[in-house]
Amino acid sequence: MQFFGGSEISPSPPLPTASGNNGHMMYVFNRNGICLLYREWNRPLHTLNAQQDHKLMFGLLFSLKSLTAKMDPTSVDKGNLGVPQLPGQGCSFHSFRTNTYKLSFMESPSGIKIILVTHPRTGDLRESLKYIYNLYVEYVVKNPLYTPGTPIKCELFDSTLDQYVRGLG
Amino acid sequence: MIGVGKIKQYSNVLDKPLSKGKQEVSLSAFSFLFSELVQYNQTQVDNITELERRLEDAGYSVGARVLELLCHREKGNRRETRLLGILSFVHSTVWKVLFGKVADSLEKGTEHEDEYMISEKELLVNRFISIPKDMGTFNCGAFVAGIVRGVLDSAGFPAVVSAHFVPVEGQQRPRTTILIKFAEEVLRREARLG
Repeated sequence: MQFFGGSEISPSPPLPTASGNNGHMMYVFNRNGICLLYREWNRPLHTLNAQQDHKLMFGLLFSLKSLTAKMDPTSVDKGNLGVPQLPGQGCSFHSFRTNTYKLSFMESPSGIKIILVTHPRTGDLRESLKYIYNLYVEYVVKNPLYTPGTPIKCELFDSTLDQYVRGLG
Repeated sequence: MIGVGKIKQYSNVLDKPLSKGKQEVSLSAFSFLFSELVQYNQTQVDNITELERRLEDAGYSVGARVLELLCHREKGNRRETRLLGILSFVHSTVWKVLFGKVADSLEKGTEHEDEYMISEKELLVNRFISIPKDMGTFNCGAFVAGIVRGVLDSAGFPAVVSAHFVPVEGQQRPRTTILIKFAEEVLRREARLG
């Protein structure tokens, strides 16, 4: 049964050449689906225009979240999907992996969703996503010149984020 | 043993001893409060200069009161009469009480006799703030400039104080300089005092 063989059969992508260039793309959405931030460091394939890409990503995550919550075999009651939950509370998915990339996801109680796409051999990124959320709180939320609900244009946030993601992996 | 541990009740608030107060306040709490101050003023004005002026006025009130309090607490009610005296008071004592550290540097301006500059690598109030490109030279440090102006004015050294970003090569974030330009009468008085 070679069909279900080991992981060496599927082609693995080239390992990141420079250490510290692990992050490919990053999205930040707010509760209403507005894309607050989109950064890409390494993305050769562009199939959709930016708007469609963001909508697709948001829709995908929304459906995945509700699917995973509904299919939970361990919880007794249905759980309320609209209620804000701390990351880790209730049932929420945190990553999926294909043979070419890994997508990690975190949602804060206020509805801010952070998505990070990296190399598939990356470990658990939940702590990193929490740190990125912390950066968001410090440099974006505390900035009086930023209107909540609009795309993020704070250079402090951009530069620290860039530095941090390049240092990941 | 009656009365041990009981706080003495004062009938008149003026009889209470002036407390040292809490030495530290949460940085997050202050950042949110300051952010709201800036946002509130933003809704009331149309342009940047007006916004800076409002922040300065807010700082002026703080400065006037800070001078009274610090003169009583730290300096034993001594009054500064010399220019360098009041400048080093602002640079060390006021900065230490407000921001927890002394200011980075105090310099005399080279072009004009009446200009002095207090520099700081990063003002505490500006720590979480990034100015968008369309706001040009707006600096939330105008609040701190107002505090300095309040202190100097109440001490009898009228001056025009402003906050500027000074780009530093090799560093991404520009340094902030508080520029103090004293009024004519201050310089004349200083010259008379010798």
